[in-house]
Amino acid sequence: MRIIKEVKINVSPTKGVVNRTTNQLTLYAAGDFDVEVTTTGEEELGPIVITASRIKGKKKKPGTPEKPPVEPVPEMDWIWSSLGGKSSFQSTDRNTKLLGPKLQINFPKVMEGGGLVWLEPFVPGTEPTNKAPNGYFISAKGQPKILSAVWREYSKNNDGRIINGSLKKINQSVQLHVYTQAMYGHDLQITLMDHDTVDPNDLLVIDQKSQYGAPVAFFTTEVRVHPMLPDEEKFKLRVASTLAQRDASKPKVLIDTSKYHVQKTVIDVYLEEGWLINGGNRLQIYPKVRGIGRAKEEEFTDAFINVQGVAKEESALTFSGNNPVVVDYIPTEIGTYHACKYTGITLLIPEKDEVSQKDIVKDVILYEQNGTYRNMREFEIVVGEVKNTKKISIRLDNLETLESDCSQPQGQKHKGNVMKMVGYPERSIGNSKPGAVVEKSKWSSTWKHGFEGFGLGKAEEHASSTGENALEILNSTDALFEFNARYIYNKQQLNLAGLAIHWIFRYFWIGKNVLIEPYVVVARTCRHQREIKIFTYPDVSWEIALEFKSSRSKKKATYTPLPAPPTPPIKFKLGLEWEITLALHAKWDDGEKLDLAEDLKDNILKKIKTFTAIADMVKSIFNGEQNNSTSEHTQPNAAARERLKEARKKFGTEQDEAAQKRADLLRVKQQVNDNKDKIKASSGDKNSDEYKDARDEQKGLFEGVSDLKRSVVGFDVEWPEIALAFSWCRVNTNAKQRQDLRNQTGILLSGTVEAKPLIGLSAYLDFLALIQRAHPIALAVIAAVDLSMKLIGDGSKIVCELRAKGTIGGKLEGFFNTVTKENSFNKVDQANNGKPLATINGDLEFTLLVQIKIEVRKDYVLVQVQGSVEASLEAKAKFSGRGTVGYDDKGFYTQYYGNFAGLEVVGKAKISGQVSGKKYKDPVPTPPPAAGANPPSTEEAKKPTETSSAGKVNLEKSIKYQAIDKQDEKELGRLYLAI
Amino acid sequence: MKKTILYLLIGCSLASCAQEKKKMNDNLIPDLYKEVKFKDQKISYRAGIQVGASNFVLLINDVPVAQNFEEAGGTFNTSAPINDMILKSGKQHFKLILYPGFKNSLPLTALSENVLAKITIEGLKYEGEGVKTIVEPFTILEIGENGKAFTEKGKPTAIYEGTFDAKVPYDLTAWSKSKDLRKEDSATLEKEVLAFYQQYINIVKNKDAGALAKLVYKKEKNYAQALFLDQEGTQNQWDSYLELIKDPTLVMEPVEKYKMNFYANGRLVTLERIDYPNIGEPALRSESKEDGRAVVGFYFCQLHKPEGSNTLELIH
Repeated sequence: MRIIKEVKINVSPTKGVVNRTTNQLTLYAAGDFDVEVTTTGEEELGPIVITASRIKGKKKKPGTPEKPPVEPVPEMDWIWSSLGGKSSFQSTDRNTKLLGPKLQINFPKVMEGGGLVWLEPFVPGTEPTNKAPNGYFISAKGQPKILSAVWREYSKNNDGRIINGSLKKINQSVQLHVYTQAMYGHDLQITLMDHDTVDPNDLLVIDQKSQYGAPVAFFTTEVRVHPMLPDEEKFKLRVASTLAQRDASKPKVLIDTSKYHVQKTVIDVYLEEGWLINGGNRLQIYPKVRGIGRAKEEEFTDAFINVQGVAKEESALTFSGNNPVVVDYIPTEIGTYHACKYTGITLLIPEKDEVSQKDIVKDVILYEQNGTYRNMREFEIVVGEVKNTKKISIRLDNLETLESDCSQPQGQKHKGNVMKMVGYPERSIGNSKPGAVVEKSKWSSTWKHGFEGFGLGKAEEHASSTGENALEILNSTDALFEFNARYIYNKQQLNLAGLAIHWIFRYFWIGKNVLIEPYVVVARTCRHQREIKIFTYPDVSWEIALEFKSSRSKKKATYTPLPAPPTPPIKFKLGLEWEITLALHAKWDDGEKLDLAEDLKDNILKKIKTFTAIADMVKSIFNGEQNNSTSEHTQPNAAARERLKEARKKFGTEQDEAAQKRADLLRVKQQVNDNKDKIKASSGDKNSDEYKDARDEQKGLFEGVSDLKRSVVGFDVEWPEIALAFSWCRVNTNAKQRQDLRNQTGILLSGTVEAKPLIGLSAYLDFLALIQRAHPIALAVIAAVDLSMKLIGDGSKIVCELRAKGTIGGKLEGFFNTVTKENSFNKVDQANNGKPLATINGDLEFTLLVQIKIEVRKDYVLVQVQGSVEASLEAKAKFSGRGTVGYDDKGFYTQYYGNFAGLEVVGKAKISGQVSGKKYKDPVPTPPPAAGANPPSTEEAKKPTETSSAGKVNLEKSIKYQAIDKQDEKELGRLYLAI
Repeated sequence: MKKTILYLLIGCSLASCAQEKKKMNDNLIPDLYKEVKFKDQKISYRAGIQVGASNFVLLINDVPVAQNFEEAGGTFNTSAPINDMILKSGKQHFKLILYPGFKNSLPLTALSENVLAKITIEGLKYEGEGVKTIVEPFTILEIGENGKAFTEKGKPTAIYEGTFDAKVPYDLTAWSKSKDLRKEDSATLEKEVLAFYQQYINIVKNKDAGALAKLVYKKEKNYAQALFLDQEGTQNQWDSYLELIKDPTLVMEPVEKYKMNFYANGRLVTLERIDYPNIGEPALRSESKEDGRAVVGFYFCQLHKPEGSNTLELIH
């Protein structure tokens, strides 16, 4: 059997340069080079000697021994392949078009740019070595340029038809093809823009969902080589060639008849709904492209698609969305092909199977050179300090550290020195507790494993200690490193706002805030030098049971003083006292447990302000303070405003009187009760003076009540009663979960929150109260029914009452895991578990009664509800609330939202004396068919009408006045459970 | 010469006669206050009407008080005088008919679950600018109160009826003893009603105030008594009619898109529109201009045939 002795590349110095140290040929541009193989017989063993010489100008070194005559090898196979997606080749990967020992190879134009190609000859019947000395890394530079861009229909095969200038819809998927020259293997940054004719063009954010931690504004993608599409043949702005090579014996004949390829990058683009927010109703999307590390950006404004409307149907990318980063497939550096190497890092951790309780091992891929995890992943684990430590094993996959392959100088070779721990939390604690932190080795020489072939077990002794917090390295070989991971609690007393509380409260929320110095192991070979980081989280688990209610949880009337105009809002003095029942436990390190309720009580008390905030918001809606000035409603005219002003002036001076009336009412109510007793007592003899007097008194009292009633303003708030029971701890993922989750930990929260209620309200304002507050409703009613100051008078002919009544409450029950997203609090993830969803919700109903009692006159007023989207009609405007459970870096919380449907006052008609009515004859859209049950339901009703307008109005076409604005859903309050 | 003077005298006398007659007709309606009795016992009954999430007609003694056939995403509110439906003291009948409303100009076919209705009756006494409560408001019907479920949800219509007591000093015959027009031949009756409407239209076209006063006299006489109108009140009524003949831009419209409806248990007949959004409005209509804009006017015109008569006359 023959052995390859030498692989020699010949290239003109004007065309390229060969680096002998790295076995790399870099061509200045695509073109030809020669390669020749010499072999020796099988008896001649020893290291392969590689020479690479230039055709011209290379003189033989003096003293170099004469080589023995070499016979040409009649047969030779070749690997000639892009390194995209592959780091090693087998004989089956040979290029069938390349045969023989001497070749002239044409580096294809389409692969210009720096992306590496591997060239290695091997004797038929043997396997290629995939090592640099036996082959060459070849690339060609060329003149990099971004040439053009086209939009295509989405196709898995990247062969969709061109759609430049077409109209697409949001929720559809398309592709963008960007053509380049001499950029094979380069990364491109592609930004999508919306072209505006008047305003500056808008940038469209690619990844709105922030799946990479923050919104991503552009695609990062890699230039590759793709088979040429039929419509690309005629393109001018593209680079295409075959992947052809030449046989040196027939240099002029192409032996590769493979198809033409083009150099481009292909981006899958999902048309995101969020783009409409920035771009408007219609988008004209075009790309801007820049090579990474290059200053110049190309803008292809002619390559655009129009986007309008939303497609209901799902498209290929509806669920996955945009993937902003697709790179690292084509290598441009040769370092990743060094023979002194490993190809992956796997972490192993023992665990018990949840069902069988058998010991199993969770394997976590932290790195794989050509796999999914090309970027190093960090590892998280929940552990205790002493009893609940966990054994971590780090394994290097396919480790090869032959000294002959290692480029390090003698004495510093990687073999025997591959893995080393360079950081660990015990060290940092050691600073404060001298002597406690030491490495102790338990591995000695007992460990036997199948990795000996890849490295040697280290014989070095670690310093040993008996300290509880000592670092415990169990095993350290080139291929396997094992140690016990622990979390070291900071047990210094914690001060919170001047109060000393137990140190465990540092870990009340087990987020990034509690991370300590990670364990860091470096794994070094010529190919890779990587840091493996293991972050430990504390194993504390918490249980809380909390119940609180105010001293006014049960309904109590709170009559509030009237303000002096023109200060509209009412100040609600709360002065509430909260009753709290709290139980709190923490458990950690497999046994420590404490009752901590007393420590947290004051802190919890402060958080209850959330609920007073909810009540304040409801009140401000009731008082019309949330109305905005951009309302599309008709604004009352100057005359109406003047009447309101006069009325406020008039009634403002009477506020003391009004307050007195209220006090009188309370007094009268008491008298009524007393009177009832008197009547009851004297009812035995209905002719008695006592009975008659009592009846007379009753009559007088009722008249008094009737007179006083109108000025009374009621505002009864039903304060919250919240009961909460939760437990939470940080949890490891297990071997049954997806690989992409296995390196993480999550917080598992489970429990209930019950609000009985969250808020309840019974509120009432009459016309005088509305006027005194300059409430928008007062102004709307004055304007809608055209009331004069004379008619307003003392309000005796006007009934205008705003009421709100209802409660919001309920119970949330469930769990969530912050890493696996298994969840029963969130509807979206209900399919994962099937637990029923309960919610905190309810309505506060707002009603407005308007009745104008002017002699011989009917005023029709419609109190219309805004924002009702259901087919069913609403009679009352509703304030609706709902509750959720969520979490963030600070802790978990219960969160409350509210929205208000909105009220508007519509003046419909004034009919006097049963004589006539009038209305404007305005055009309206084609009328609908009459409802089946309506009495006038006939064929006639279906015909268009020439008359119109919306009301039987005495020359005042129905006009909508703002009363209380519709409020879109917004957050009302958030109760954090955090320190 | 003498002849001439005589003729002139005769002519003058005839003109004077005509003017006297015209003056009398002009005052026919304004002077009705003189015939109003029981002013010291004046009482104005009103119906407080609150109907939410549906369309409706409220009838008292089978005569419409108020109705709404439009958008119903909200609550209709009014306080309506009802004395003109109360002919004498005693039990008064009421009927509330609920219909599905319109939403975004489209008709719904079933009653909403959110229907809310409250009808109250009260008796007031208007004195100048003041008002005094004679009969405290009392509720005769309440639906959907205190969150109670609306039982007729989903149905195409719902009817609620009952009675309440009202005490008035007057006793008006009005249409109470009139013929039951439902028993008459519908086609013939429709022709008669149309003929009456045409007569009304012709009077307006001819700007014949005297004829107009005669035409509405019985209606207004009843109305003045029922509402205890004073001089200003009857003058206001007449002024409303005079607009018809004094407005130079006013043109009466053809009577169309109507349905003949009976009220007061068949004693009253009228024509009402059936086209959205004019549903339920009187079919007697005009068009005029105000501030350059076209204005549609409609006129309440409920007719009856008094006992022993076969002639339609305006009574409400």
